[in-house]
Amino acid sequence: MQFTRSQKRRLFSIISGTAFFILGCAFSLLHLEIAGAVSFVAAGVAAGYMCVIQAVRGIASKDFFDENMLMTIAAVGAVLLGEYPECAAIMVLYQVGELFQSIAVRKSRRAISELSNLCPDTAEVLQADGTFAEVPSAQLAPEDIIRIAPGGRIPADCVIVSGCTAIDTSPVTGESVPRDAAPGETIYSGCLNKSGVIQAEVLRPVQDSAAGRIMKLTETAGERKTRSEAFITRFAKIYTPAVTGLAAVIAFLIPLVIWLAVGTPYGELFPEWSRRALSMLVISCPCALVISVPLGYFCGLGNASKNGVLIKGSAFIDTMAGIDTAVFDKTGTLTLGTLTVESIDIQGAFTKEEILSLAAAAERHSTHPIAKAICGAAGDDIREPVSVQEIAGTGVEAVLADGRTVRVGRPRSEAGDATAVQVWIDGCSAGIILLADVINPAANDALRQLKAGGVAQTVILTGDNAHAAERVKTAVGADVVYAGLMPEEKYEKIEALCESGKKLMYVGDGINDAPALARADVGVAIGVLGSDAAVETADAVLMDLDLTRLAYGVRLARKTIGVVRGNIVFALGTKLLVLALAALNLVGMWGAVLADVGVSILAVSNSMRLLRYGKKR
Amino acid sequence: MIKTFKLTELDCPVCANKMQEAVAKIEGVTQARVDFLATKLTVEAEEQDFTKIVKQIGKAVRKVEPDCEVIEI
Repeated sequence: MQFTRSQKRRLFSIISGTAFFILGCAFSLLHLEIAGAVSFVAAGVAAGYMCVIQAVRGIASKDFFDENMLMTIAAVGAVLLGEYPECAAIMVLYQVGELFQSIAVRKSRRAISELSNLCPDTAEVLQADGTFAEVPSAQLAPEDIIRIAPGGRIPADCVIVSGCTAIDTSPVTGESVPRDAAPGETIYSGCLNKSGVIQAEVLRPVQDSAAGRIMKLTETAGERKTRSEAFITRFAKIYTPAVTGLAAVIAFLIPLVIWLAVGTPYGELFPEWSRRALSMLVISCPCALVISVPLGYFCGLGNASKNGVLIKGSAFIDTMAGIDTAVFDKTGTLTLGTLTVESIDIQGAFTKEEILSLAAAAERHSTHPIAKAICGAAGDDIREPVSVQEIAGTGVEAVLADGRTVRVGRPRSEAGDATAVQVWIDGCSAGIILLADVINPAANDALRQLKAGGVAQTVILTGDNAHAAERVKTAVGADVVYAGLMPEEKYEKIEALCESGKKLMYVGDGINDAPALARADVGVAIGVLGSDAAVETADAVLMDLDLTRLAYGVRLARKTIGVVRGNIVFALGTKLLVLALAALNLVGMWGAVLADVGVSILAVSNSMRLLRYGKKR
Repeated sequence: MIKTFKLTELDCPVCANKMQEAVAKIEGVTQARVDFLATKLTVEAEEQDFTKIVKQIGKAVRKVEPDCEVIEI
């Protein structure tokens, strides 16, 4: 474990303070009261001098109601009342609590920076003299030629100019199977070069490259504060002065009142009541709350991005946790957006294989998705047509080497609602090929998990026809489907659902649906490399099409909210309870300082649990 | 113009808020934000003033947390 300068100093304070404290206890046992008192005060000074300096500095800048001030007043007050061991204990234990917090914060920061550090610090850049020099990645400019060794990370989006390799794209796309890459291919920053040395030409500077975009997404996550965080900041501002005021009232005013009313001498009452006041100061320290709430969100965000859900701010953890309706765009989200041949209706004397193979021959030079699907289904062995003629608006007609003419085009009669093409061979209809979009394999599971996680309703929006939409609805197990929507109607649907009081999450691939992404309570875009507009307007981005990540994100958000709220209730509750007990003299300074440190440690540990959440999955 | 700085030894969120307030008060700074968990300071100011401002940022930050160093990134 590597300690920082301030942590080392704190550790040293704790050790020397503890040593003096033990010495003080020894003297006290030997009834050497003065030596004991001196040792205890020395312990307090050794442990708390930093705290006192900070408090003094706070006074200088007229901003002195902080925990340093509270602890300093309490420790000095303890000495004035002759409670020397308490003075030492307050300072030593306070430092223990602070050290623990600092270690916890650093640990979570490190855990999170490890996974967001997608971009190497330096890159090897080709110089004018033909050698390669190490240059900070931030200085890479388009058209620089960089060299990437096997095992290295790609610093910026670039095109391979020489060398072949396999690229592990999982940090950017979530896709776990390495992809082969050859010269001419674009590779994205953040990906790992697996096997060969490659040279590549930089396309974009680091900050606009894939890894830069991902890091930007998660980096600005702290900017939007949640209600809980804002509450805590405001609370800490009024709470500390309020408690200090209350303590002053208890120390000075109450004895005065009793003196005037009952006649007990003020000098007898004051030490007793000021002791209570000091205990209250010790317990009132708000650090447990102030740190555990943002830390909880931070760990939640870190855990989410580790699992492929990039959430743009802790505020969206709040909204995501409250979602009751999940709305999905169909194409490219619940389906993969690629067509496959689903079935073939035979109408003539040809077999399915023959129809497919002949249609493929006619379509082999077309780039239309339907043509690609047919060629894909026909396999590798596709005949070369002699001539191909496009028939405007209806399809293609091809003459094959054996003299047959094949026409592929829109069916004369609407055959159901699925995407269909009719195949004519030598002028006679041979059959109809029905195509369908491939269902996202993760969709069914994801929707089930969302339901189990408390999302009441799942809705599909699509511009596609009712038949295709119904098919997807059944396949993925959604509740409601709205088909045949124009892009602006999608937006209106979202708007209507939002206005009906539903807490809405909208999931889309960002093509045509950026307004819907923006309107929903939580807009989730798919694919970090997806369209700029979508990634920018969305509140969260899924790494890839694995929608179960979404269900995980919602579960995690709920867990995070639970932990944060739990911390607020637990820490505030304990503090108020001990505060009351201290005022009634049922808890002394010892109890107060132990309770304060205990609450801090428990609350911070509870928040850090979120880093490990879901590991078993 | 916006510049981002890394803050070292930033361990307490209250200090982070104080730093943010202190930096925002520096003359010429139009906006300042400290992200405690990312240990980052983002400052917006006029370009010609920046060299002067950077020095003052260091001072303001160390007033709150003496060990804190400000590194430009």
